[in-house]
Amino acid sequence: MSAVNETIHAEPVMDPLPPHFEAARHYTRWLSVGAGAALALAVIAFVAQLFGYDTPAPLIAYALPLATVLYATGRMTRLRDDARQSREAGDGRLVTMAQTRLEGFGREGIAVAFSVGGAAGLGASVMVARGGIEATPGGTLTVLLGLAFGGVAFLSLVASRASTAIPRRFLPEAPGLADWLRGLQWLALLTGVGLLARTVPLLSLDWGRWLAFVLLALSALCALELWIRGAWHALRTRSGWIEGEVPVRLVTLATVFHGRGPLHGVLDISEGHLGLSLRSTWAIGFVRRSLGLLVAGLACLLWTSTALVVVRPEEQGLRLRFGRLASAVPVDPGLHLKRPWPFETVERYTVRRAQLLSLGYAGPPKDSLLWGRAHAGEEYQLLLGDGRELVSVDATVTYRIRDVRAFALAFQNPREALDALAYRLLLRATVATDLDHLLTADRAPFARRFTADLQRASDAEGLGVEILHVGFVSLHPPVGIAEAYEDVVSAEIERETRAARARVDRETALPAAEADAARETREAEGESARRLADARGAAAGFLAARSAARAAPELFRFRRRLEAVEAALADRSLFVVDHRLQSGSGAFWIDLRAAGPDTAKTEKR
Amino acid sequence: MAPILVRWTTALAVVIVILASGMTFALREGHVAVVTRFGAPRMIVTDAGLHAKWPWPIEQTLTLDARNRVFNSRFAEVLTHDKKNIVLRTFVVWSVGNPLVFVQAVGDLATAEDRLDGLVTNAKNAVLGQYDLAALVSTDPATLKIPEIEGAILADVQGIARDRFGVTLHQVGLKQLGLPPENVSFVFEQMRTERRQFAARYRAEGDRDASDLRAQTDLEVARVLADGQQKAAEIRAQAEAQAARIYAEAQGQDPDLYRFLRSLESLKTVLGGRATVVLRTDATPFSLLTSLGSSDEAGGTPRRNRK
Repeated sequence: MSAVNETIHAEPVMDPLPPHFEAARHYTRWLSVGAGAALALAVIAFVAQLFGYDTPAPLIAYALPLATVLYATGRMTRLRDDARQSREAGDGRLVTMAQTRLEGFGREGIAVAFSVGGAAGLGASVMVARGGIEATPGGTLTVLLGLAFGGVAFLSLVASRASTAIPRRFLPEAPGLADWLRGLQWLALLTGVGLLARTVPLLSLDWGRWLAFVLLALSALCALELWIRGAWHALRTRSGWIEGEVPVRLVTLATVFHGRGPLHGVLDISEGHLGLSLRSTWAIGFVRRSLGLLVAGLACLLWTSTALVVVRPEEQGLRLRFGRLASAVPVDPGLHLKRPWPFETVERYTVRRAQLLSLGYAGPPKDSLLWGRAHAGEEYQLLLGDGRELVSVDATVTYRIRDVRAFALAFQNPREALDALAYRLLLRATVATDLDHLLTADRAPFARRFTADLQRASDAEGLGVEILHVGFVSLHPPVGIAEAYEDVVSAEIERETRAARARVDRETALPAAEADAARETREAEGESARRLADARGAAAGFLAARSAARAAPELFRFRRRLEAVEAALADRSLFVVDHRLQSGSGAFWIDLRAAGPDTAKTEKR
Repeated sequence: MAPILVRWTTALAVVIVILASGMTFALREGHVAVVTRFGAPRMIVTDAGLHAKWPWPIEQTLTLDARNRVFNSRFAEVLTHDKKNIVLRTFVVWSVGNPLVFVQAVGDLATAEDRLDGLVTNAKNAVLGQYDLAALVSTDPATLKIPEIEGAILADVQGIARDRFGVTLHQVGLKQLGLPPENVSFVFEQMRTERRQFAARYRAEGDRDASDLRAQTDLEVARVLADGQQKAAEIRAQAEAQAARIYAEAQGQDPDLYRFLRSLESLKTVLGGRATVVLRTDATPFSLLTSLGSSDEAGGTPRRNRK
């Protein structure tokens, strides 16, 4: 371990290497074997995950980049060796060719390999994280797997130690590879411990699972850094022999898995990369000296803080001493002292807040509650009316915990218990009725009765809840036939409409008839008035004529006659025939014997 | 000196914690623990609190939640005694009754509920086969036998669950009663037809009421008009009678003169616009045409001759 540091101190990573390397061909084989082994490990971890053993899953994400790093280093070592050999042979053409290949791999090859390896590792960790890390089943196979990973850890330890011992002139990547292998060593060890911890019921916590999460995060971080390294390597400006070395040293690994602890790792990296010697700073020295004490103090503080518990305004708590109820009186809201974990725990329950239980439709409510449209989720139908009818029910039960002790201790799933009781009561309440009765029944008393029944049932089960309210949001025929029911309502309205229309007609026809009748009467009255006036006028005229006639009857008569003749004959076709004109045996003749002059005159006016 | 003391104290504390956590276990309220020594059951702990045991691998504890638990069985289609298919959903309230049997026979809650589901479904089929549909749903409350059915299912299952699975069943309840999807469409059709009948009736009633009202209106209109006409006729008749009286009163004083005047009136009226009149010269005033002096009083009767 100290060898690494000395090496780093002597030759900072960024320094260009001397233009030739010692013969290192035999390392190539070992590096290839290592890359193969890392791939195999990834495959094993993947297969284990397929069979439900999720704990080793982070190793997939770690082993893939590791294999890439080992492979790249191996290939680089071979190319360097080729270049050295060609130089020693003195063949100029071969030297140029080997040099070109070396530089080519140093530029593009590493960039591509790191990007692929980093992406594969990151992809694997995302895949594992999305699939979720479940608790690994306990059993013999788990123990065996745990032991196997212990073996892997041991092998990694050996490999890591071996690589630190390799002089940098043979393999300049040796310190970086040592970090990678140390990382594998810890990962495998912790995975093994996690698997074994699953079979040891030391504490109820599932250690393996939590370890796996931490390790997965670490692996993802390594993969990400490798990827960035690859990309950076492709972009940066190059100079001389810098292409001769694979940049395998990750900040993440050096920080976490450094031989003498994380602080040393950070200091080494900062010194290596920045040329700063933070070790000599007084503050850092102080921190280093008192780090143990600090950590211990922090742990103590954390532990003592478990002696405090805050119960929120809507909550009540149950104080459990080693799982046993310490006091029958619940812990009220506020700050309370208790014995620290694991001696006492306080379980908190939301007691004062009204909680909602939906009967009928599961899922979030939609904006409108119409009969003909499905509400949220699955429609809840109940059979009724002698088994020939169905009704859709949608109700909400509002409740609150009344006795937190009963609520916590009577049932494992008190909410589901309340749900079951409510459904059972709903069933009982509907089977004996039919749809018409149910739809027309008064909802309020029904809901009140239901509330009381549900309270009684939950008390009988010792649920410790108080039913605040039961609301029948909707109670209606199933969605499929709601339209038929609505049509009945429409028909009822139509019945009224038709009658109303007839009433309107009646209201207009009757007054019109009355008006007609009245007009007729008025006309008759007018006519009779005229008739009477005529009669009176005529009578008055007659009386006047009579009094006139009485004075000179003959003259009056003569005058009236002539007036009448005048009036009658005016404007008439008139023939005046001589009164002496006689006819006899087919001839007309005038007898002039009595009169003077003979005239046969026909006058036409 | 001090660092060594700190180190030893820390190490001792860690060892004590590990030993304490290995040699004790805490049991929560409502739980039971089965303690096994090298796999063989040694004791069952039901009291909540801290208990001692030998550390792993000598003794191991298996903790079970012994509180009541509600389990909703799946929808199951069953056939009633009168061969009606219905879909029935039940719930079961159960708890771990015999922890040892439970651990040996079932192991965990999910498996237990799986077994219970099978048991209850089986019992449901058997029990409901003895009852008619009317025992489950009926408008006549006397035929309903739901508590009896629930009791029968519980009785059927209770013994087996206790003996075989170490499970105590407290309750079996019917939760939902429905129809298989195939039957639902027929029930819907039937309900729809029934509703249509109501709708048709309401509409017909509306028509009937409307036509009733219209007929009545027509009748009343006719009556009102007839009344009006009758009244008008009466008024006219009265006026006529009165006029006749007035005429009679006046003309009765000199009937001869009336006859004369009326004849003259009649003459004027009778001779229409296009009448052609033929008169003799001996009629006044044409007598003047033949003899200037002679005056013939009794003028000839004019002869009318219509063209």
